[in-house]
Amino acid sequence: MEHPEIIERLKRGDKTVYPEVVERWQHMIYNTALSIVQNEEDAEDITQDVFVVLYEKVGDFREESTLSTWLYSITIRKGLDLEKRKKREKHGGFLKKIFAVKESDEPANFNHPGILLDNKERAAVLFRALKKLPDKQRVAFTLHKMEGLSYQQIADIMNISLYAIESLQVRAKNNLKKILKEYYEQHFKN
Amino acid sequence: MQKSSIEKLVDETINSLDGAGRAEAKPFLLTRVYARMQNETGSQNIWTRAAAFLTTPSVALAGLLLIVILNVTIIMQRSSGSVNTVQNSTAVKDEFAINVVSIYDVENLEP
Repeated sequence: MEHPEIIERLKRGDKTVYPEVVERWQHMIYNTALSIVQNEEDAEDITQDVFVVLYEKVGDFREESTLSTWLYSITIRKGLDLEKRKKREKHGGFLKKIFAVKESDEPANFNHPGILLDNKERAAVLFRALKKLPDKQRVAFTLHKMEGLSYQQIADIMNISLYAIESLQVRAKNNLKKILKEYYEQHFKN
Repeated sequence: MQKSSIEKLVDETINSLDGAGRAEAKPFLLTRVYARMQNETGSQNIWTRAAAFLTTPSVALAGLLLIVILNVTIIMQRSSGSVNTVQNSTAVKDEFAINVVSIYDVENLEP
């Protein structure tokens, strides 16, 4: 089934198209969410949420972009919102602040299931470093690496210029190099 | 460890996501999506939404605070006005000679 037909049927409130919609986009949404929030349960929650939003708000979709682009942007927004909420909860209470584990003390323990076995350990370190990047740099880098999207596609999703995406990628790589260098220097010192 | 080997490790780490496959959502996602949709539709009921609003910690706390303030205000007002009330009632009693307290006092009067 072609995209315009799917969108038209969704807008009509035709629920019979839903199995195909979920089948077609579930892994894309789940993988994007997982790469951002780095937690399987949260990624699953976000995936479900995105499909509910699609069902409820498909009328707002103006078809200026593709449905995938729209779904990517909803997923990213949901992922970042969830992270902010979690951070607020984490730093909320006085007692929590005292007993909280410092971010630098946290182990690099997220293992993305799609990573090649040889790269697992290094990828876990990279995912930990990614958390320290500003949101835009992290999203741009993650979409390019994990979803294999072109800079133009990322620019459409993030609704910024191609030049801005190129700049974000360069800054993300430079910052990652700095963070990782510090990490390895400290790691090998101990 | 040598500086160049750390830089090499950094580069390898940055490139460690190359060739990564997509993580796949757990099976039967559609069923869970339908269930969530049903929940979302159910929670559109006005009473459910009102209850959800009222049980929000900030709203509940504000309500509680308002009740406490009202109570304290009423108690303060009463305690400051109690002297005046006693004075007024004594004045009225004197004015109208209200000595008989109840009907029993009238009935049990000795001849």
